[in-house]
Amino acid sequence: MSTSTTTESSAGSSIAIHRMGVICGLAAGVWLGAAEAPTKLVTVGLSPFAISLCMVAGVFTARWTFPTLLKGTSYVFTDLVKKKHLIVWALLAGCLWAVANTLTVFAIRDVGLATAFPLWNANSLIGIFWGWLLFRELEGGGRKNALKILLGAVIIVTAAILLGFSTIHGGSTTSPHAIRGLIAAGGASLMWGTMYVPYRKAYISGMNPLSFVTAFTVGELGLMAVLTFVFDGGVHGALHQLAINRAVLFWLFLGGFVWVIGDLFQQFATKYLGIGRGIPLSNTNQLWGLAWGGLVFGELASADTTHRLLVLGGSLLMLLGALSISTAVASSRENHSRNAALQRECDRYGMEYWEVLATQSGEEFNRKGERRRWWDYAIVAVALSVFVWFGLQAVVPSIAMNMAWVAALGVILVASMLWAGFTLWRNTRFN
Amino acid sequence: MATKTNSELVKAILTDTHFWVPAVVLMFGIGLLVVLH
Repeated sequence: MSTSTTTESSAGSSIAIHRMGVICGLAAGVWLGAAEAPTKLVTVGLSPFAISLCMVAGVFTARWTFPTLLKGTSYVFTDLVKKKHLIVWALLAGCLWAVANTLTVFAIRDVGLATAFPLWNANSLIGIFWGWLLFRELEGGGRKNALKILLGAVIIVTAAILLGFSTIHGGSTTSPHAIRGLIAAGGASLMWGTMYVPYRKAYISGMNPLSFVTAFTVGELGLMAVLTFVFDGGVHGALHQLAINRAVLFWLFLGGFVWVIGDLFQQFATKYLGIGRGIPLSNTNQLWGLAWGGLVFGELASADTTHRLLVLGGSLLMLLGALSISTAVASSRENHSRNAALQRECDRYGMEYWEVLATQSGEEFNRKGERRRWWDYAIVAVALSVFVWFGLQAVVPSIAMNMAWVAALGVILVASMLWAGFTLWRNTRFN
Repeated sequence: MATKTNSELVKAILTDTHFWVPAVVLMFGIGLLVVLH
């Protein structure tokens, strides 16, 4: 093969990987945007901790449904044992997610989904900051990149102020706990922005997203159970609260299920595009969050024109800021930084550099380990039964919803999953 | 590259800034939940 042909083939492969990452990022946006919608159906009876615990339990259960069919348990546990130090970061990431999710429940109750969503999406800024500080991303990127990042940061902060202002001065729709809601949304942003540190750590070490998510769900379920039992009056009090409200638990489990699908796409996007581009793309979820909040639940129906303009303008600005930051990543520096970061991990944790590079490109340790066993199907059956059991007891609360928009957004959800899932399967077989 | 023993891995984790940054942020988040609760 001639040099020019090899170069063209390499460039084509690079474009295909980039395109796949972008599709995954956009699909992640659609699913993560919808994940909070089911919690709107839970308006009474449960504390924020109990709501979050149920969502996390839904995430945990959902992880053992269809994702188990993508990669069997043998593959996942072999991957985890091979890089066992990363289990600590996966648990940490799960704990950060659990705390962030609980904060969003406070935020949604106090300022609404449409306003809270863009605020916690400022996590892109925090993710970029940690990437720069801890992984030397963007280092030496030049004045142009620095300006793009500065501009993006200013736009995001402006958008956050606009949204906060719209909530506090929203006229008749002002919540008595607006400040608490804004602080909660800001805290969620910090948690979710920092969660990308473990993500980044796992991917430069070549861990499969499905393996990472497995330990991740254990961390979030463990911490969330402890928090609920501590804050909701002990194990007995918390379980009693869940038992008497079991008619709404399905909606929270559903939220967890939707989130797992979105997060898997987000993790593949982060893996193939890096944090700099991956987060802003998946942060398009705020538009979908706004769509669910505004179109399905009519959150902005009673808002005046100024309030609506502030929310829409703030959301748009937040996306523009994320876009500005995402275009600031210079690919040559990115590769240099990635190799330096990978070398650091290999030195520190005793991994083979070339072996990790091979796993990053899909040449895995043991193809035989990818075979699905009978217990994989049994696990999937049990996990699906849990959803069916809660579904049979579910009651749709008397809350105003536009069902036409529910159907339209539902179709988009399924279409995006099929599109991204097929693209991933065709190119990587989910490696 | 020699494979690290478990105690070497624990030491490597506890001396890694990449561990302490998310750990401290997590503690802050739990504190925030206590205040908001």
